[in-house]
Amino acid sequence: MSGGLPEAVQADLEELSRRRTRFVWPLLAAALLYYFAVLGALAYLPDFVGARVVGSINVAYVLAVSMFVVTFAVAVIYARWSRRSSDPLAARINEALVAAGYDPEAAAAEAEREDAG
Amino acid sequence: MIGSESGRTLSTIFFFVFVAISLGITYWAARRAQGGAAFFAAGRSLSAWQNGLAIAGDYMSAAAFLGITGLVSLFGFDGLMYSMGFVVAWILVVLVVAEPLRNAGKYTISDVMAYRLRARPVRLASAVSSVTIVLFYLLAQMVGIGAVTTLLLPIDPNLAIALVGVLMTIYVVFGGMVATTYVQMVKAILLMSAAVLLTLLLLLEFDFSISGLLSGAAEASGKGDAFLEPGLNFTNKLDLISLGLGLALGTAGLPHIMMRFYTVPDARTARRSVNWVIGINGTFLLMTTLLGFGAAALVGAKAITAANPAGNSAGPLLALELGGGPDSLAGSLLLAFVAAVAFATILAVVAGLTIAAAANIAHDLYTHVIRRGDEDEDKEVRVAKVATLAVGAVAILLAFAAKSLNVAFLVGLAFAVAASANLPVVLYSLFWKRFNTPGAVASIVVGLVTAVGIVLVSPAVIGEEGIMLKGVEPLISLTNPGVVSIPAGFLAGWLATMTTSRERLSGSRFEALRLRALSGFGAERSSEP
Repeated sequence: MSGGLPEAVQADLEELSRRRTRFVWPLLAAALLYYFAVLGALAYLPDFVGARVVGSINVAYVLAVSMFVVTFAVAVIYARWSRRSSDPLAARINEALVAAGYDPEAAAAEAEREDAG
Repeated sequence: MIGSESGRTLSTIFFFVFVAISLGITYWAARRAQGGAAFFAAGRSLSAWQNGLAIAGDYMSAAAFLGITGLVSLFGFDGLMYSMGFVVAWILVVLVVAEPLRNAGKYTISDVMAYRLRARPVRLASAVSSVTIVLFYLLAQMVGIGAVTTLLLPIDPNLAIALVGVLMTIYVVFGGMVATTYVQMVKAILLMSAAVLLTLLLLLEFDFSISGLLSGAAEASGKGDAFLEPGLNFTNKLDLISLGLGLALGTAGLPHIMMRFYTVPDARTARRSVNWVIGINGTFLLMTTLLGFGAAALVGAKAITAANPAGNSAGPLLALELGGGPDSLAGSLLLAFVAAVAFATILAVVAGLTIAAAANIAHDLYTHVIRRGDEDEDKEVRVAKVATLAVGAVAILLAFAAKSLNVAFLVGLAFAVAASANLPVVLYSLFWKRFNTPGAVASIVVGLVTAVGIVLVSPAVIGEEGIMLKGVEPLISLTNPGVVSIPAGFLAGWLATMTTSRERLSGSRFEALRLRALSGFGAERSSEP
C-alpha cells in the first residue's frame, strides 16, 4: 500500500502498472531481441549478410537500415499507445489525488511509522 | 592543413560568428538562469521540439559526425555498427526510462537511483561513475578538436583547445542550462544543415544511386565486397557484439543526456522529446554513414589517414572534394562551413557535458553527501559554478594529453561504463522492490571497475596499437568491455541485494516511487505554467 492512497486511486495505479507491464516490456523485449539477432547475424553469419540484394546493396546494409525502421516504428507505436492507454489513467490518478489533497511526503512518513510500529 | 588561405580565413570567420551568437545567447540567458531549477534544468519549461533538438545536439557529438564518417570511410560496414547502436538506444530510453526519470527526479540521474535507498553511499558511487563517464566523453570531444584544428583552422591546436575550454566555462557559469540548451539547439540546426547539404551533393555525384555509391566505395577501398561487409574493423567477433550491446544500453545511463529530461514540464513532453530525437538523429546517422562511404569513394583511405591516422578528418575532406577540390572557391567555402560546424559541435557538446558533471558534483556530492541532504539552492549553484571551472581545467589538460585515439572508440567506452554502472541501478530502482543500498553500490562499483579495468588491459591501451607498453601482449583481446562489464554490473547488484538484508525504507519508498514515476504526482514543477 502506498501509505493510505484512496482506494480508487490504488486501483487505477495497479491498472496502469499492469497495462505497462503487459505492453511496454514485451515491446522492448521484441525490439531488443531483433537488434541482438541482427548483431549475431552480422558477427557470425558472414555468408548470409554478404549476399547481394539489389546491385551492391547486401543483406548487411538492409539489416542496418532496418534497425532505423524498427526504432521509428517503436516510437510511433508507443506514442499512440500512451496517448490512448496510459496518459488518461495517469491524468485521472493526478486529478483524484489533487482533489483529495493527498500529500505524498506525509503519507510516506506515516507508512514508515506504521512499518516501524 | 588543407584548403586554401582564403578558405581558412572563411573558417575562422564562420567560427567567430558562431562564437558571437553563442555569447549573445549566454548574455540573454544569464538573467534567466538564476536559481537552482533555472540553472540546472532551464526552468523545466522547454517544449518537446526544443528539448528534442537539444538532446539530438548533445548526442550528435564529434563522435557521430567526425568519428562515424571516419570509421565508415576506412573500415566500411563496421562503422555502421555505431550508427545502428546510436539509434536503437532510444528504444530503451523512450519505453522505460525517460518518463519515470522526469517524474521522479530533480537534476541528476542519481536522483532516481537514490530515491528509495540510503542517499549518501548511493549518491557518492553514482556521482563517481557519472563524472567518469562524462570525462571519457569529454576526452573524445577534445581529441576531436585536435583533428579539426590541425586540419582546418589557422591556429595552434593547443590554443584552440584552450579557447574551447574557456568558452564552455563561460556558457555554463553565466548561462547555466538555459545558455547550454540554446547553444546546443543552434548547433544542432547548423550540423543538420551541413549534413543535408553534403548528402545531397554526394548523392548528386552518384545520380542518387545508393548502390552506385556503395560499389564506388568498395572499389576505391581496394578491398572489394569485404568493404561492404562486417569484419574489417572488428576482427574479433565478440568486439562487435560488445560494442553493440554497450551502445544500445548505455544511452539510458548517460548523465548529460538523462539530465535533459528535467528541462521539460512533464513526462509526456519528455516522451515527445525522445520522438523528436529519434527523428532528427535517425536521419542524421543515416546521412553520416552515406558520407563515410562517400569519403571512401571520392577522397580515398590514403588521403584520409594522411590527414589524421584515426580517420577523424574524413567528413571535412569530403566537403572539400564535393565543393570541387582544394583549388575551387566552392570547395574552400564548403570546407570552411563544415569545419566551423564541427568546431561548434564540439564546443556545444563539451558545454553540455560540463554542466552535467557540475550538477553531479554540486547536487549529489555537495548537497546530498557533504551536507547530508540539507538543501541550499544558492550554495548548490555556486558550488556548481566552481565545479565548472574545475571540469574545464581537467578537460583542457586531458586534451593536451591524448590526441591519437579514434573519437568514436572513446565514446564507445563512455557508453560501456554508462550501461554497466548506471543503467542497472536505474532499472533496479524503478522496477525491483527488493533492491537495496548494498545492491546499488555493488552494481556501480563492479560495473565501473570491470569496464575501465578491461580497457586498461585491452589492445586499446597496451601493446602494438595501444598507447603504452608497446612491447607487451594485451591481456585480453576485447577493445570494448560491454559484453563482460554489463552483465557483471547487473549480476553484482542482484547478488549484493540478495545476500544482504531487506531494507524497510527501500520497500515502503518503492510504492511512493512507483506512484510518482507512473502518474507524475508530486513531480518537480515547471517554473512557467
